[in-house]
This record gives sequence, C-alpha cells and structure tokens, in this order.
Amino acid sequence: MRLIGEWRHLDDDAFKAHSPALSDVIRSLAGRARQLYELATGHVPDDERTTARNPQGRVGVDLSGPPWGSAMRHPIAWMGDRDEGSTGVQQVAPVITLAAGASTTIGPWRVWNRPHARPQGGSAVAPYSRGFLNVEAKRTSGSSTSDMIVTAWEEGDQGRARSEPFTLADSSSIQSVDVGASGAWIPLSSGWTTIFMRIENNSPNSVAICSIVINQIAKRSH
Amino acid sequence: MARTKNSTFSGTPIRDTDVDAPTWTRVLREVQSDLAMIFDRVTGENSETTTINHGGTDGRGALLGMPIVNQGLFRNWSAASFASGGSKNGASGITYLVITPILWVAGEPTLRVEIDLAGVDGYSPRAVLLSSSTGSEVDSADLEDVGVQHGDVQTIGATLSLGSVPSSAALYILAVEVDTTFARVRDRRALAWRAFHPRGLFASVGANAAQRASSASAMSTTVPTPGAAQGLAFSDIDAARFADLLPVDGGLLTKINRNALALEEYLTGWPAGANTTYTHVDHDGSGVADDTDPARSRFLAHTRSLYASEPLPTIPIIAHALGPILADGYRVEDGANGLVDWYAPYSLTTAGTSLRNYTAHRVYLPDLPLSSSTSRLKWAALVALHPSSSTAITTWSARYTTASDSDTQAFTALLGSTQLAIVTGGGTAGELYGGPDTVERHSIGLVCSTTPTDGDISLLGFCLWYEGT
Repeated sequence: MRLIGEWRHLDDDAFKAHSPALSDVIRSLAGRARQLYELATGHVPDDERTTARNPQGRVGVDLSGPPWGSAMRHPIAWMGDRDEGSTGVQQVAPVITLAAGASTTIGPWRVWNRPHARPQGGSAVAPYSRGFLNVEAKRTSGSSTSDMIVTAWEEGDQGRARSEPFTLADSSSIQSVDVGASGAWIPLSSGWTTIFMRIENNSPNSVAICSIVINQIAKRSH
Repeated sequence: MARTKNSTFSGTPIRDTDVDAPTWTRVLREVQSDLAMIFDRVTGENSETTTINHGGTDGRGALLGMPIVNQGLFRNWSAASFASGGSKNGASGITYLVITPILWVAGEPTLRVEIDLAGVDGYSPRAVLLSSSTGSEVDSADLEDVGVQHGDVQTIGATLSLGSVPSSAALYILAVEVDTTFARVRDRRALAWRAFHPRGLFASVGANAAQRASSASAMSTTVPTPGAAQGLAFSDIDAARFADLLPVDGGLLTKINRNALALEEYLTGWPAGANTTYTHVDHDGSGVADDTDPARSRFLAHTRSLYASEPLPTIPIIAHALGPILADGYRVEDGANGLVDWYAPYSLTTAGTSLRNYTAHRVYLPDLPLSSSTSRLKWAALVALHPSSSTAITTWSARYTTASDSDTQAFTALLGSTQLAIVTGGGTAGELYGGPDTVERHSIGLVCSTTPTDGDISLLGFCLWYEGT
C-alpha cells in the first residue's frame, strides 16, 4: 500500500494553534481522506483496500443503512393478483379469502433482503431489519366492519410481530391499510429470509386480501 | 478564490506521514483538494461530472444490489392438457409460469433467479431472459435444486448472464418456463420467486444509538452544523493558502479536519468521529423537527433537496408477474383441467372499451427529488396477444395509475415472431410521483379502442423503476 489510509480521529484540540506539530495530525487527516474516498467512490486508489467491505462484500457506501449510508426506502417484497375494482377482465381469485371467523397462515415466503449491517445483539433496529406491511383488502359479504389481525414472523421464530386490529369499513371499495404503521413489523435477516404470516378475520364477514407489500421505511434507524 | 480541488484522487504517500517527516504544505493542500473532490462528486456541485451515481463505472460509487423480483405467489399450478374446455386455450407445451418485464441495471453482468415449486421434476424448468425489442432469447439456464426444501416444495435456481458488464440500464423480459408437454393433472404449490444480482453475504456490524452512547469518550470531534441551504458544511480553501513557506496554523488544520468530519457523517449516515449523536438532521431548523424529512436531506440520499445537480441513481422498484401463459400466446385457463386458480388475466367483452384494472400494490417509494423537473418514475407492461385475437395489438393501450396520476401508452407491435408486446411509460417530469415519505397505491390496467372478444389479450406482468440521470 503506497498511500496512507487510516480511520484515526483526533481530538479537536490537536488541530488548534500552539498544539504540538505531531505526525499524527497529518496522518489523521490524510488517512481519513483516503478512507472517505473509498467509501464515496467504491474505488481503491492503489493496490490495497483500507476500508471494510460493505455488507455486499464490496467497496463503498451502498445506501443499506449506517455505517454504509442512509438507507433507501422502497418495497422489499410483494404479493397479490387482483384489483377488486376490475371490470371486463377475467382474473383469478384473490390470493387469500377468509370466511367469517376464519384464519390462515401464509408461508414459507422466501425473500432476498438487501444485505445490511446490524448492531451486535439487541433487537432489530437497523434499516432493512424490519419490514412494514401495507395491505389491500375488501369485505366481500356481510354488513359490519371487519376486524382483522395480522401476525408475522421470521422462520425460526425470532420474534413475532402482531398488529393491532385493523378494520375494513365497507364493501364498496378497496380498503388500504398500513398495518405496519401501528407498530407491527416483520423481522428480516440480511440476504435470504423466510417469512410466515397469519391473518385472522375476527368478524362476521367474508374478506378478500388483494395485496400485501412489505416495505423498508427507515433511513438510519428504527 | 482559487478553490483547491483535485480532478482525480491524489492521496498521501505513507512516507509523508512518518514521524520526523517534514510537514509540507503540499501534503495539506492535497488532503484538502481530495476532500473537495469528494464533496463535488457526492453533491454534483462545481460542475463536477464524475459524480456518484452507483452506475457501475469504477469510481462512481458502489453498486446498490437492489432486488429485482421478490414476489409471493401461493398458487397451485398443474401440467394439464389446457386445450380441453375454455375458449382460446392451447395444448400443453412450453409454458411461462411467471413472466414479467424487468429493469437490468448498469454494472451487473449476472442475475440470480429462484422459484419455490412442488412437483417440477420432469418438466425441464428454465430461467429465460428475452430481449424487450425482439422477443428473442438473450440467455437461459436450467433451474437446479439449491438444497432448500419446505415440505414438498423445493427451491430451484439458476444464474443468467448478459455475457458482459452492461454500461447502462436496459429493459428485459424475465420468465420461468416449464415444458408441460407431458401433461398430467396434479395440483402442486408454487410459493414465491425471486430475482436479484448475486452477492456474497459479508457480515457487517454496526452499532445502535444505545451502544454508541455507552461508548462515549472524552474526545471532542466537532462536526460543523450545516446552514439552511447546505447538506453538509464544507469549507473551500484557496490554493494560495498552501503556498510554500507559509505558516501552517491551527485555523487551517481545524478547517480541514472539520471538512473530513462533515463528509464522514454525510456519507456514512452515522455520527462522525467520537460523537454519540448526530450533528446532521434532515431538517433546516424551522418548524417541527423531523429527522426523516426527505425534503431537507443532510445525508447522501440522492434527493436533490439541497444540491440541484446531485447525482441520481437508477433504481428498480417492483416487478410483478400476473400468471402463466403458453409461450405461443394461448391461454392455460381451463375449467376442467387447467390452471384454474392461477393464469394470466385476460380481457372480456363485457366492458367494451373500458379500462380493465388488473392488480394494485401499495408501495413506499424511494425519496425521489421533489423538483417536478427531475422526477423520473418509469414503468413497463408486458402482454400476450392471442394468435386468433379479433383485435390488433395497436388497438390496445396500457395504463399505469398511481394515487396522484396516471399514464397511458399504446402498444405498437408484437416482438419479433412472438405473441408478446411491451410498452413503457412515465419518465416525464413530475409524473406519477405523489411525493416522498408516503405510501402510494399503484395499479396497472388495459384499454382497447374497439370492443374485444373474450381472451383477445392477457396481461402478463409489469415493472416500475426510477431512472436517474
């Protein structure tokens, strides 16, 4: 390695007037400049990498969450085949239909989640470590509101996320529910992750689930 | 001011940082010049052209590795004789179980495709990549067991290749194909399928806020607070300040140090140095504090909220297949034997020329630029026209609808000798995008300018992506 590359910080005082002119000062500034260059560009300027590999095993910030940049927000996984407002189309039935009082378990659902850095120990707080549910559903029979509960977990039962009951108000239109907004989230691993979901219809009505999307919504931490 | 900045990275030879090495002003000049170059590349400021767009070119940022397909299916499929019963069904043969347009980003030479299926033995499952302009095969690979099993459902996978590293993003058609010639009626499960640019997983450990707080040290590492119009508080320094024989004072060293700390917090998304809390927040100090406000992003996020020329990456967002169809365009829906609970939806006469909506998702979009002149959401829809269709492909249009907008695009021709047709839309400033930090309902539909007959056209799949500059 020809060019210095170190992640060494010094106290602010080391850079002030009348502080000793130690080589550490130059070493800290120059070393961090090299590391910032590798992080920003993903390029190694000489024959040896000085930064750690990102969660994908490559060089540079990949926007997967700190310390690899502010994470992007986007759908991670999705399912569903029917828009209940359809006319003039022959479609298959919704993926999930639930009679009054019925429940169903969906899974295993194997998903490729973006590799990401996670804190050592503790609960999942890193971006991409939690998936938030957004559900489209419709009451297909009955006249009262429909109380639904969604429970989701990762294979191996590393912690179940259970939503508060959400309701479908009427049968005249699609009801869109951001289940995750109430605090329910699915724990997700880095890379391959296998998900199970249980949907409970605690109402006297029949219900069709039209779409489920698992979204990544945190930028730097949950 | 003659702002000191390098056009390419200079770096500092190790010997210039050794104990007893002379303190050359040129060393400090090169450090500040390198930092200024990094600032320009991540913000697009000062007319920088080699910006960080994660586009695959060396030096323009790490590839993002966004998943292309992560779709749950939870359907039954069967290799039945589709021809018995139902109009416009076909005989058994090469069948696309799932098929959809996808965006293949720059810098990625390969794509990993996996599907979780039961009962696939004997049906020669393949992953197939087709050209979106000719419909011809670009690459294909047999899907093989990867050693993951759930009950009788096995995961099979294959890697597709373009043969070279693409320099720009392009649209393709991705399919999982089976040969149902050896027909037998037998409902089996299809659970999910995935497509992603393959990576090795590298364990990377961060730290949460509590862990950072518990590791607080007495060292002070001050990150300068950005102004209202700044993403980070970066100070330019005149090249003349580094002239030979000029004194190296604490003011100069402190300014360079703080530039490095500001870049560190901006790039990593983590408190810089020994700090346990952020200096940067996504907020300009007025009104209610909101650390997630993408309109005032003070971290590398490609939002153009504070830097008008900030580089924009190209990001695949969603790709969704709607069901199986025979490769020759005939349908597989069959009341007696076919894929009765899973087939590509098809048109009916009932609604005449009205819009036919097919599916909808509620998606959380990336923090896209707020300026109406730079939003570039784009979509593509793939259909199959039945060989005996009473309507021509040119009478059909696809319509992509979001909570705030819609876009309709007409199909112009079939792809080569296939019965496939593809259309793209979006890309107009401000179109389709309702704003950041929100969940939007997106749906796809078809419209015909003349009344079709049943089964004239089937909608196979669609995709959505954000196209950067």
